[in-house]
Amino acid sequence: MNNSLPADKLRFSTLHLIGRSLRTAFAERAAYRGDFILSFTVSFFIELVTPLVTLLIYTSGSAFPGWSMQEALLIQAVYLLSRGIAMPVFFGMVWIIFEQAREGTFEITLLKPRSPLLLTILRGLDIEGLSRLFGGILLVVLTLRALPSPSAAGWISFFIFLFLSVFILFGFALILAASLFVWVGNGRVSELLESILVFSRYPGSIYSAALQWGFAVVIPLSMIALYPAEALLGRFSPMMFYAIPASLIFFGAGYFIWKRMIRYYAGGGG
Amino acid sequence: MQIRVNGLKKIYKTYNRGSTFGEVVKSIFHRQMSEVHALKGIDFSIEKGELIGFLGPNGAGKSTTLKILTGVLFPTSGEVTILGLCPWKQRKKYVAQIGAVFGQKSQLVWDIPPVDSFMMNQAIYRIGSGEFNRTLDRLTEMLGVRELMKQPTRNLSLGERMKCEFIMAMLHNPKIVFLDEPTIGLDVVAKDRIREFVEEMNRAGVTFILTTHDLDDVERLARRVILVNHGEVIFDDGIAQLRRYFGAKKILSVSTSSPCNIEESNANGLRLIKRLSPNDVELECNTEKIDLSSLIRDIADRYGLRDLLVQELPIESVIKELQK
Repeated sequence: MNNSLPADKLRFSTLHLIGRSLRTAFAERAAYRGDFILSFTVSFFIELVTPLVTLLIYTSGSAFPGWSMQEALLIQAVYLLSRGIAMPVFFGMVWIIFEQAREGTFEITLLKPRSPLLLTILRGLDIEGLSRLFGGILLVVLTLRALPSPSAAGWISFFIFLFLSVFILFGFALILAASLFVWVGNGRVSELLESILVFSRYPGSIYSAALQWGFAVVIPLSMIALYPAEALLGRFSPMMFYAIPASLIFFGAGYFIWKRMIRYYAGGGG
Repeated sequence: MQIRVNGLKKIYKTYNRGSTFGEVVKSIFHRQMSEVHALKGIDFSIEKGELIGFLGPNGAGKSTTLKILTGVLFPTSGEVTILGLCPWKQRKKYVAQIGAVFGQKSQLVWDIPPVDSFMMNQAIYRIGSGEFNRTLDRLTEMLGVRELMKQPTRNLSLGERMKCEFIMAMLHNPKIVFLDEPTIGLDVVAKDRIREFVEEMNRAGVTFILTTHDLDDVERLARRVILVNHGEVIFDDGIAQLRRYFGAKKILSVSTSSPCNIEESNANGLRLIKRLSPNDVELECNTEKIDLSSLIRDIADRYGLRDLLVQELPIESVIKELQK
């Protein structure tokens, strides 16, 4: 029942709900302090392992065609940064739906007068996953120090592309979570995602022209890390601009699938 | 009319699989689908302030009905209007005015104190601080859980947790509350406190729809019972009418001085339920067919009456009969 006074309306906006959810998520994790500190630290270091393959390739004398080691590392730094934003915020919902669809408890969310998507995202907030964000920021700073300073256009494009990158990852989270309403108990969704995302970690020059087009306009994986990194390096191409609408369409498709699949939720037997 | 349900149908598609190894392997590649008619056209209506017992055996369609009424599930066909809204079409507006307590599904966050979960609900339901504090104070006082508010939920007993679940469900002052097995697993003291709470809230005008297998809850709380079985309403009337459904039957627990061979009397409207000893029997007497005072006199004359207890037919027996 909406008993709120008009002055409360702003206070009880979505921002207030997000703030309260963050406090709850932090309090929940702080209940097991040892596990929280350990998970936070482990996540931080595990993410930093990602660029190791690139380091090994370049130290063994090989190279990605047209890319120096620092430039290739920048792609992976941006990849970690984008994941560092998207994973703690959007991917907790995949596991929340995994559990709730299996146990038939998603109706608790549906009984609240808010968007089920917003509530599921907030319930899935992964506080310790923020260590990935710190890892991503650290790597971007370190790699950029060894590269020429980006131009203003480069920075602006980078932030726009990074925003789209997070949206694409959000789209993936929506598709995975939605699939769990019908594909109940599929614990392999994270492997499925990782095996797709691996294509976004490397320079486009290693793929055929058809795949480069596919990763720009069909499943815009190149927008996750390659194009934001290229923007910082000042390497603009028409393809990255075709990927802008493709990224928005991909997110829209994810949202549409979520809205459709939620209707398939039938809950557990009573 | 606060709740109106017309011709509600729900058909589920489900997959069948055998239990042998071969059938399990086969089911990976091909699953046999079948339709389950969970609801076959249910109709009922509920007035504001009623407290309804919504009963039925497992698989009868109770939970499906409740899920549709709470806006969680889309029906296959039929109409539902609650508080002037269609639950699944106007979900957000509708669920802001209802509450629900599930005995087997918790709304509390396990690792943090209940008060933190309540504050989450404050933000979700946009409850003003003054209103929130007043309601929380009143509810914690009524349920006697004030001192538990800051303990982690995982440290609370089942009864304490259930009281907190009730607070979660009532914080936004809902007009209708759905209770699904609210006293399951609770001790008698906790059950009693919760029943008192429900009664008090109902007196204040809140409509309750109670689904339970604990018929003590129904006898204590409900004034009307809707009984469903095989997806259909098989009874919808007052609890007194439910007792009288098979005639005005009474249960007699009789102790006699000499062996009581009343089962051999073959009297019309009289049935032996249980023989505890040669001198102690339990009888079911249909008072529409046999005069109770004459029967008692007859037993006293023939066998010598030592003790006698006359009771209403247990509601459990009536429901069992109806479900057959």
